[in-house]
Amino acid sequence: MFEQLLEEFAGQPVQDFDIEDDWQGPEVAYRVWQGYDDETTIVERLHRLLDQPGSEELTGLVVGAWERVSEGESAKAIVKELIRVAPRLPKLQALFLGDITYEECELSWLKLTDVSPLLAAWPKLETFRVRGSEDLAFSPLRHEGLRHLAIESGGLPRAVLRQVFSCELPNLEHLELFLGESQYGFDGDVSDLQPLFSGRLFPRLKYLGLMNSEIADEIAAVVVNAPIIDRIHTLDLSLGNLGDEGVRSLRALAGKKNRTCLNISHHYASPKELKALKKALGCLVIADDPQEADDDYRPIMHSE
Amino acid sequence: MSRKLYSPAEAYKRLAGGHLPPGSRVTGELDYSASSGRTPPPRFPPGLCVDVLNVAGCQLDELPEGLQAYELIAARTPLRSLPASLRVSTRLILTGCERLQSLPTGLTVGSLVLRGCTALRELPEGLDVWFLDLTDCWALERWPRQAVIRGGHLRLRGCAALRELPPFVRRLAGLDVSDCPNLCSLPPELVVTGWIDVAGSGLKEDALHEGVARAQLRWRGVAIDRRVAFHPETLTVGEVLGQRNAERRRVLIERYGVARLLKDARAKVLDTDRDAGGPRQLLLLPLADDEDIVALSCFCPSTGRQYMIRVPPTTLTCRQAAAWIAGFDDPADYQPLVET
Repeated sequence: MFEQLLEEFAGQPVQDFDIEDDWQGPEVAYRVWQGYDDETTIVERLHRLLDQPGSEELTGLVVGAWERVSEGESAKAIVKELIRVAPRLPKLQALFLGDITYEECELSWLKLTDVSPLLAAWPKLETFRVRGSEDLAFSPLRHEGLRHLAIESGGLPRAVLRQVFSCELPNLEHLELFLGESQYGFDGDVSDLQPLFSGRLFPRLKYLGLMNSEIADEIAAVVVNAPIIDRIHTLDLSLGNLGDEGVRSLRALAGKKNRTCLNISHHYASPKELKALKKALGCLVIADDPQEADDDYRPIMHSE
Repeated sequence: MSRKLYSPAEAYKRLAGGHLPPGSRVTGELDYSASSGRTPPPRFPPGLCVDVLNVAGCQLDELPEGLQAYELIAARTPLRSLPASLRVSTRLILTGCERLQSLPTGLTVGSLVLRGCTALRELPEGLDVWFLDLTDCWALERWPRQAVIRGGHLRLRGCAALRELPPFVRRLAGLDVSDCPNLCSLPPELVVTGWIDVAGSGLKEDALHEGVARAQLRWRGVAIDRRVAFHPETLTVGEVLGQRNAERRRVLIERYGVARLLKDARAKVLDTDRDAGGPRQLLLLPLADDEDIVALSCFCPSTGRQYMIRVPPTTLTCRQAAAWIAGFDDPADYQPLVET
């Protein structure tokens, strides 16, 4: 579960924006939000932010809890408003939709919407992160600017994977997919990732994150055989339930070119298998946050 | 050529009226599966391009020419073949297409699911897939000379006619050869990076050469070690009954053998009687956190061979057990005239 709000986003500090006094110039990523029983709406805070002198120079924006998010209200209205004000933020490069803690709304309750029109409203946007996956959609889109895409979910439906893989993102370099678990909406299996493995998509991809997954071992076994592995520098399988079986599979990465980093943090592997993996691979292996299985049950990091 | 885009809602309307132009592109899913309640159109236009087309369970005996899809679900349809012009990029599901006899030469798709395609005797030349599921394709006996399976899964469970894997299977993440009793070896160049399911296959321990030695062994989907797979004679009653994980315990029971376990664990005799084969016993072995093992011990009247057959744990008498085995819930309905 997400317990903390962002402190930094796309290389900038994040600052809550409520009133004029919060303005610290355009080199900050401001966060707009609406609390439960809040007298000020998220749209009012957004407009107050846009009214600051120099706001047109902003490059980062963080959208937190939107109106009545905890009561099941979708992101449709705030997305519509963001699209409306997009011309006032012509230099926006990084957008986070859904910087929301579990106390504000559980991850699995977050209701999203089609975000492709939002991306289309900022053709020069380079970084887009979104949290939540219910009703999330990516309608057909070609976006030349996007370099960094992350979907944080407790259970990503395979329909969303299909939609993302069908988008044309010729400059995408960094992709993080939090696949989640079946109890919270992941209805696919490792074969749903095949379009990605084949290496046909996203010709500039360098960072591949198949994260927060309950099928981490299955992914590890296939990804080591995939052409995509030869052109990425980082493989991120963190936050999931990778165990000894998956770690043994990853030893097949030995001798592959280009890769400089493998991240398997939040794992369930034994010290013996980890040692063998590190010895076999010539790259940096990040294996922080080791977990202990509870009677064979290996929960992932973010689900409910 | 740019195609005209239609939403599924528009496409349903136009398809029903026969007005969807050839070559249309539908974004999203068209669901005409038997469970959707929608009536499939009399015909789909040629060159239809759709993200997902689901015609599972429909009485569809041919697919339109030039169909393109990300995913096509045509399970349980009476299709006998597919058009050569079909293009499915990611997933083609033909589960339970019992009349399917042939697939197009050069068929290329991410995942091909042919579970229970029992009329299929061979695969097409030039097949190119990542994931291939041939579970229960028991008539399949010939591999193509040239084909590619690209590092995903090959599932062959219950392909009883298969005697070997072809040399083009070089690198897999997962291999299921369970219930392939005639398959006794693996290609020498095969590398398996994930798992091999060996339950009921003809594979012996020495078939696991260097390229597959590190793969996780499975028994009907449950992770096991080499001893359980290949040396079940070394298992002990304590080990079997002391296993806390119910799935793993079931595998250990299967490997140990129900008959042997009931004998060695001194199962309680619930009932005894006689039939044409001789004495019968109904035996009970209680299991922690799982349903008890209740089995009927009986002898075949013609061969004299002893059989131990598991029955529902609520069974109380030998007669009731024998009736259940013959398909009767009420033992009063089971009155065999002759038992052979």
